[in-house]
Amino acid sequence: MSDAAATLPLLALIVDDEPQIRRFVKAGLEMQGFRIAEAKTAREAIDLAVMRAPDLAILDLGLPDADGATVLAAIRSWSQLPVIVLSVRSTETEKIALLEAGADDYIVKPFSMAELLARVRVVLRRSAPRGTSSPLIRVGELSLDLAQRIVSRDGAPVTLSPKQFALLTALARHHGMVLTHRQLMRELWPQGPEEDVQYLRILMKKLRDRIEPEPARPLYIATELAVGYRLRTQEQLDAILRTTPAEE
Amino acid sequence: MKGRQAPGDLIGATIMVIGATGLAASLTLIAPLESVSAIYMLPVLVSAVRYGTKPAMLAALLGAFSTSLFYPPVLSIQVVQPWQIVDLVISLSVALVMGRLAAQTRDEMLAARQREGQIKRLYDLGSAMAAASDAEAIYTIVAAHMSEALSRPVAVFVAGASGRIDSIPSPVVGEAQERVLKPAVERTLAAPPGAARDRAEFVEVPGGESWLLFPLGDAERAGAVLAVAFGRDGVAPASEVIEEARLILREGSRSLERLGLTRAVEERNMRQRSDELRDILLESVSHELRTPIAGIMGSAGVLAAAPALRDEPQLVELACGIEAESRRLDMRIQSLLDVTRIRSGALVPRLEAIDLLDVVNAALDAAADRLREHRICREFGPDLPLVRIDAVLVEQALINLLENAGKFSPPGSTIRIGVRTEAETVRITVSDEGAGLEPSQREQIFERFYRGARHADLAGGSGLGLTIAQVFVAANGGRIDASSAGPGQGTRLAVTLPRLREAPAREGDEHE
Repeated sequence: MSDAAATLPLLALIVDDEPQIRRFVKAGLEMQGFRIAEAKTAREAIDLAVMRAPDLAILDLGLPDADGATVLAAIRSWSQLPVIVLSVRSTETEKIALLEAGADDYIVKPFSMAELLARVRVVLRRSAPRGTSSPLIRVGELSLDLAQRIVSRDGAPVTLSPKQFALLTALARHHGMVLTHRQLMRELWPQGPEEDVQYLRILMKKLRDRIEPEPARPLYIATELAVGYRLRTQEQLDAILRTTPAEE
Repeated sequence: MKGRQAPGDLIGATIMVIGATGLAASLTLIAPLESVSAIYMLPVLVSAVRYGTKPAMLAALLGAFSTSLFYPPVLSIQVVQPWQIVDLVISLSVALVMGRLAAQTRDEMLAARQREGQIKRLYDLGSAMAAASDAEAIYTIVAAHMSEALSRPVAVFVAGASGRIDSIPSPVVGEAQERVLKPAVERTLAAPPGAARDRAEFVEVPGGESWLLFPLGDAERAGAVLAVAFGRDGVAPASEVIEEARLILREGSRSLERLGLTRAVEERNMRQRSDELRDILLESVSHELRTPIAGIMGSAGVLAAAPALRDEPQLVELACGIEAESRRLDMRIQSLLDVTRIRSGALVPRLEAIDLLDVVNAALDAAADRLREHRICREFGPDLPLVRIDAVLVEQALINLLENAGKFSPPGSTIRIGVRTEAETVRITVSDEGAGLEPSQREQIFERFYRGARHADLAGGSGLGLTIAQVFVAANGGRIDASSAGPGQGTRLAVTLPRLREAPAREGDEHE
């Protein structure tokens, strides 16, 4: 991040009506070398998103003049700019709706700056220009070559059924980000019923049996309860391993 | 008209034929006529219109007989000439057909007039009932209309609370009659709606009076019984009386249903409004309290990482302390909000089939930070089934159990979390090596919530956490049991959840 920032300072748009939140997010991002644009209202946010063409938006849901979701919809109508949504203990339904409306990730207030920065890194990698992102993905012992369609664990190749591979690929294409159940279902069963998440859960169980060192305690593919799944990045994996207590 | 023919009508018809005979006799005196049959058409026509078919038929036959008397030789019934036979047959046929047609027209006219009267009465009834605000008013209105339509006294019996029957005071029912009628009223009220809805019961009271009982109510149940008095005749009522009564009753039922519907809609609207208000309140309290904390926590985190503090470990530690404490404060507020949600009934689980391991792992990840001092031991049985639960609620319950275990057991000790499948249920156990419980405490540890006053730490993790866990698990159809071998022997909390029965189809993954 800091390397990229040194050559070309990225512009982050912070949208929140609470000055204290804007202040610390701004300070935290500036420390990482970002340039900052601030908006207090939905109107300002949309104007700034058009005029300054930011590289990233941190968007609060509760704005005085309109719902943050309105801003998200407006931005998504013309731009793929990475958006991280801030919300106060949003319900799972709301999270799903936002992700499906095009938010790249969400973070629930209160959050630590470290958590926010970790998410920023993930969404910025997605928006990196094509060609710079490698078709090779590594998490822990798992490596996945999207171009060669090879999956291996601990150096040994793992055979997956086409559906299992499709599921892993879908998650890998959004590496580090949450995909909702519905987004995954639509990708895996384009003609199938979107409602029955059970097929997806069973498929996930089988995929984990193949790729996880300890399927009962999945490390590579994280479950976002009632929302969806996420293929962890190495950084996310390290974070979870760091906080986890000793296991017997 | 249907029904019995009044004898007077037949006599009337006969008198008209005699009159026609007189007219015919007078005419033959003035000018000799070959046949008087046309004159006898008049009594047939008039009888048909006035009295109906049968008198008309009688007039036709008498007319034909009288016509034959006028054939020469006059006053002899002998029919000689062939033309006389033809005349008789034709005139009789014409008279019969004409009489029938005229009578039919009359019947139709009478029926139309009756329908008009019925519709007008029902319309009046409808507008009277539209103004009624409760069921009792409707019963009284229906009874009054029925009494008017049937020209008989009508009494109302209303089903009161706890099976009692109240009769709306009316002069038509004496005490003795009421005693006799009540069992029949009870029978009518108890009859199931639907098939028995149009049923009418005929009751004869000792002393000669008879009553016809009709149930009156909405689609759900009969709320009242109307009793129509038939006096001492003891004659079974004609079907058209019952038909008329049913029309009125149906109208009454419709009104009662409309009344019930209106009330249900009003109640629902009111409940919705208060639910909305409560949700808005919870939402705004949540926002007002937690936003400043978010500011404090975020700022402290930025401070802790600030380059300026890189060489000030003490200050960094302070900043980290602020961050950690504000996170704790936020969690307590969240607990308080959860309690409010439970108390106000805003807690509605969203049940969904899910892999229980996902929930357990999510809870372990979320609690990991606060269990850093402990060793965690997972004991998961093989082939865990899917469960139908609200994952978020069960996750929160498990987090609370894990934190509780962490809080009441010494650092370095082991916390075991086990998942096991049983015949009908799935059991998740959280065991610690901590202080344990006295046998009497097994129930008490869940009760603190209800005796909150004694515990100043209402929002603290200890008592409230378990109570919240218990309520969340109960909302998913499960329960939590505490057990302990005794003080100092550790505590085991077991969450029991119902299993999802049907195994889902294994479609979609074409291999295996």
